[in-house]
Amino acid sequence: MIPSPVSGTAMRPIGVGIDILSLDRAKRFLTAHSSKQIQKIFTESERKKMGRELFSPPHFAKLFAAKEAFFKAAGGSWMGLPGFSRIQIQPFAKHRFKAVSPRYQPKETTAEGCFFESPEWVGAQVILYHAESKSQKSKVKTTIQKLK
Amino acid sequence: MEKEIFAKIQETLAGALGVEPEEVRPEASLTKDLGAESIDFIDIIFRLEKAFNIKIPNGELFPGNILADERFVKEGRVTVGGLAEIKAKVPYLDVDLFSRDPQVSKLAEFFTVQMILRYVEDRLAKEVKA
Repeated sequence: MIPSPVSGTAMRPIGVGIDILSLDRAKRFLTAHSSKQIQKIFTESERKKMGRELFSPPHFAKLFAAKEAFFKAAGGSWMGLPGFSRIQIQPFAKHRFKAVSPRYQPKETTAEGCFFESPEWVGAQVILYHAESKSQKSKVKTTIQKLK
Repeated sequence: MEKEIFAKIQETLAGALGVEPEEVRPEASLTKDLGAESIDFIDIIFRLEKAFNIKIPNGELFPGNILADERFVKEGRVTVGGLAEIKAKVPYLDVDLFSRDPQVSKLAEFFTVQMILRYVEDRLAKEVKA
């Protein structure tokens, strides 16, 4: 059991997923298809928030890798095109994000992740956590306070 | 006709996967032999739709959505019911071979060029009939 890097509450990791995507591959994909087709991969909220940035290789690669990393953390299978549009990636700080998917996420879990990048590729790591009981949360909170 | 369809599929997959058309043989696995990843499956669907002027409904060629159903997957393996569902919904896939060790994470290894060929031939034949 470890504290969530976001909320600090007690969470038990139940899955880890990592994915990387080369910027060249992202560029090739974006060049081959229309914006209408590319948008099918993303949620409405992502489309609104990202606007034209969705079609730039680094931004596209980041969101795509984050969704794929979520799939891997949640069970490791390819969920098809609809799967991608049912996972919401919510960046909340530089290089960090939350992933939310009521359809693919086990109950009472939270998915959090971070981005990493090089000049040639972009990657994302997701950890899927299971929320623990109040007493366990309290224990972790006490430990964190002691460490501070 | 079959040769023409196969040549077009070779060209389509070579473009999506960045491989030589000669490498796209019927028995080749998209992941194990041609190095396909998830973005490539989406790319392949979009390119096939364009090349053959067809619409590929979700899960009809690559059965991703079935695996999101709790009834069909248990502890990382596709259940008997799940295998029957895949067989019914995606008859182009060699489910018998996959069922020997039906790990969800290994399903994509069974997506072959032959499977795409059978799917496209079937779709085009249905459109001619209609």
